[in-house]
Amino acid sequence: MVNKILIVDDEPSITVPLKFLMEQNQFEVMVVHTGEDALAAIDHFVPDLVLLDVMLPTLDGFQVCQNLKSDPRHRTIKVVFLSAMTRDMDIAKGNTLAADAYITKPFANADVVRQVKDLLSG
Amino acid sequence: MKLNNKFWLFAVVCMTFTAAVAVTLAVLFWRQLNPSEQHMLMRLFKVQFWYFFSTGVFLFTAFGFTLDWFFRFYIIPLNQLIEETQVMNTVNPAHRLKIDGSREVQTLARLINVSGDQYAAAKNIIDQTVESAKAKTEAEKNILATIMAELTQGVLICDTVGRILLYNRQAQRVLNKVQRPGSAENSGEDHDLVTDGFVGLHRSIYSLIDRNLVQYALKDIQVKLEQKKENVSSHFAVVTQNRRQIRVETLPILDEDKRVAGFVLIFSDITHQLEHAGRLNQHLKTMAKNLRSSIAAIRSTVDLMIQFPDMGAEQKKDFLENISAETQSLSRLLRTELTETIGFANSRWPLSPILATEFIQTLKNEPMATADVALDVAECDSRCMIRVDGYSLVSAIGFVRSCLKKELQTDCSRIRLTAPGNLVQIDLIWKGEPVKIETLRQWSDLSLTEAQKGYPLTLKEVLDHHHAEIWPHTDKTNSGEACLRIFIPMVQSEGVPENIRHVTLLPKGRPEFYDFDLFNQGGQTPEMGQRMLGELNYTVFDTETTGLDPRGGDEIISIGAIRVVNGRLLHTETINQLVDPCRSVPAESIKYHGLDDGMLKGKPTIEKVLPFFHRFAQNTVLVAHNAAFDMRMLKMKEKATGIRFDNPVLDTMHLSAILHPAHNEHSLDTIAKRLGVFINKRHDALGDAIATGEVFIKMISLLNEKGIYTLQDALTASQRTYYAMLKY
Repeated sequence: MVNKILIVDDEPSITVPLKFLMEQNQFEVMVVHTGEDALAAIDHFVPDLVLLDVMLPTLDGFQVCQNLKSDPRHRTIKVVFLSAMTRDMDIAKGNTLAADAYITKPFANADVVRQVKDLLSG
Repeated sequence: MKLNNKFWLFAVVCMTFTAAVAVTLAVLFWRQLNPSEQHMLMRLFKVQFWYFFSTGVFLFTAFGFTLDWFFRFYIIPLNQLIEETQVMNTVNPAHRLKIDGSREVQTLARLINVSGDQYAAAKNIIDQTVESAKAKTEAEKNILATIMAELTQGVLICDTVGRILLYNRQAQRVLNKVQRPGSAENSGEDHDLVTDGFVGLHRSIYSLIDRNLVQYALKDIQVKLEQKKENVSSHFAVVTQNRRQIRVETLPILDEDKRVAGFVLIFSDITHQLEHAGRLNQHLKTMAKNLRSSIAAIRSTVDLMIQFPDMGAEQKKDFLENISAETQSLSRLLRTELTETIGFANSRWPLSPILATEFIQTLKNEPMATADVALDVAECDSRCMIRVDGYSLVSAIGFVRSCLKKELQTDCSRIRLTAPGNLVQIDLIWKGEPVKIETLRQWSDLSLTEAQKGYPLTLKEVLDHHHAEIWPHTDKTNSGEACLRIFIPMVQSEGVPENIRHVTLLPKGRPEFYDFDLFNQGGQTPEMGQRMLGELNYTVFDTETTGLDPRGGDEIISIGAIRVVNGRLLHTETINQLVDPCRSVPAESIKYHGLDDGMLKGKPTIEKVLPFFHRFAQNTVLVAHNAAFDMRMLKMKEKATGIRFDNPVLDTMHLSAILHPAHNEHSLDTIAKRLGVFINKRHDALGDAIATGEVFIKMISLLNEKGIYTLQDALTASQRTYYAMLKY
């Protein structure tokens, strides 16, 4: 069975290569660019894992994560933050919201793939 | 003149006068007799010679004894009565007469004592009234002094010629280039000697700061004043010997006619600030350089790849590797340098380091933050430190609780402290629904005023000042507990503490480090001798020595000194310096001063101490008790040190002999007792110098009563005393 990945980022320069990377690793991928679209997509796409940017317009990544994790239907969906916010405080905030991983930008493609595979296999 | 000499002079005068009268009467009597009567009288005198002679001797002796009795029971006691009554009437109203003399004199002494008691009682009432009126003014002065002392900046006020009229401890700390902590408590003896000028009342600022710097600032101010500019202050910078960088702000003091009457210097130690800015600048430079290099390499490579799409596979691979390497380099740069630079650029809100556990414990005393809440610190490392502005952070916690109550109708039941990684986490825990991020953000923009009247900061501002954040915690275990987590960055406890503040006690009396009366003081003219005693600046000093024979090789082992300015002892401007005599101290002298070889070994030698003392005493009159001895000790070192003390010298022993010639005792203890001065540490150089200073100040008014007003008057009168003839 093919795992589904939802990519949430407002920067096409990130989503284009990321989508390509995930597809190359045999994942089914959907890309959205806002927090609101992400919450809407989760209901019908039902991803196994969300690659989530923090700094999104209006509804930010932290709020999307909090909504996701506080909804019993979606609590098992893995959330990986992909963020340019790199302070210890930002990472702690992500973890406090029960995110499964926090990857800082810029990232190595191999690290993202390894982290995604680890979470989906665990 | 000594009293014994006075007696003999009096006796001789009386005898001569009596003899002259007797001889005159005898001659007149002889001339009235006829020759036969004269002959008969001569015969009678020859026959009865021994009878006449014995009568004469008896009368002469009786007259002598009567004279002595009269002198001892009337003249001497009356003289003492006069001197001691003067003491009672002036410097020591508590003094009472104890005169041995005739019954009449003793009765008179008793009556004067009764008058003294009545005078003391009346004076007491008046003093109390005056004191209560003065207390208010004095309290205001003390508040000013305390504020001055507590300012983090150094403040110094000078008159137009650069004489210091006011300074605070920070100015003293900054400008006394090698610090001598606690010198006011007489502990300066273990520290290196100051090599330059001193901060002190009536001293010149130009001995501390280059005259040109100050003059330049004053000219700048003058120009700004003439141009009627709003901001007339002028700045310059100085670097102290211990490499502290000090920014000095100069402000003018204008009199009622808008003329410059003096100037204020405000000192700020900007060493930390400059270091901080320097490090930030360095980081930004490094970052800019590295960013430019990497971006230039990537841009150049990419441009080449676009320009030559048909390049060979090998070449393309090299270019791609180049781009990859540069992006990795950029990643590293962002991870390390940028994070560090952000750290440097953080605001410097006044935060105090505290153990995280201690901070939580302090919450117990703050009902608004912790009423009915359990405090849980079990999971936190007790060594974790955070920097907080306690009041605002406690207020913030109280504010969050009030928001929970108001908006979610719930309240936290437990506050938990944890410290994973580099952050300290304060969790506010309750049973119920979690807070949404958007709700929390709304709370963050609210002012804490609602919970705390008069505190206008918002929750976000308070947290930002702490570089902290508040965040909802999502519980994975489904325990039904919700939590708001405050993240506070942990600080290294090993860091050098900044701005250590020492506790300052409110001064009891008028503080020494200012004297606005000096605004009206005349210039320090060469005609020092003609200046009034009350106007002069004095250095009262004392030495302890290995013995009493300066010429026989005895050495100074301790020098104590205190300044007197405007009739006040300046307890913050003292010297208490032990001296290594480079020889052993005899046991018989140790009995007096308690200083033995062990205590003196390794202390500075007299060659180092005398130049220091010389600078301390510059432009002042030296005062000592039995100064001839101390001056001889200093004189003996003139050749070895090249230091010559040519200051005018006043001796309290001489002055006492001038004031109280009827008394034979003029030791420091006796004078102090007579004038009502308490000696705190006898045979301690500084203790004796302070006592001598107090005695001297009391003597000035007594000298004035005797018509001795100027320094020259005092020196001339001193030279006439018997004690001035003492040589060492």
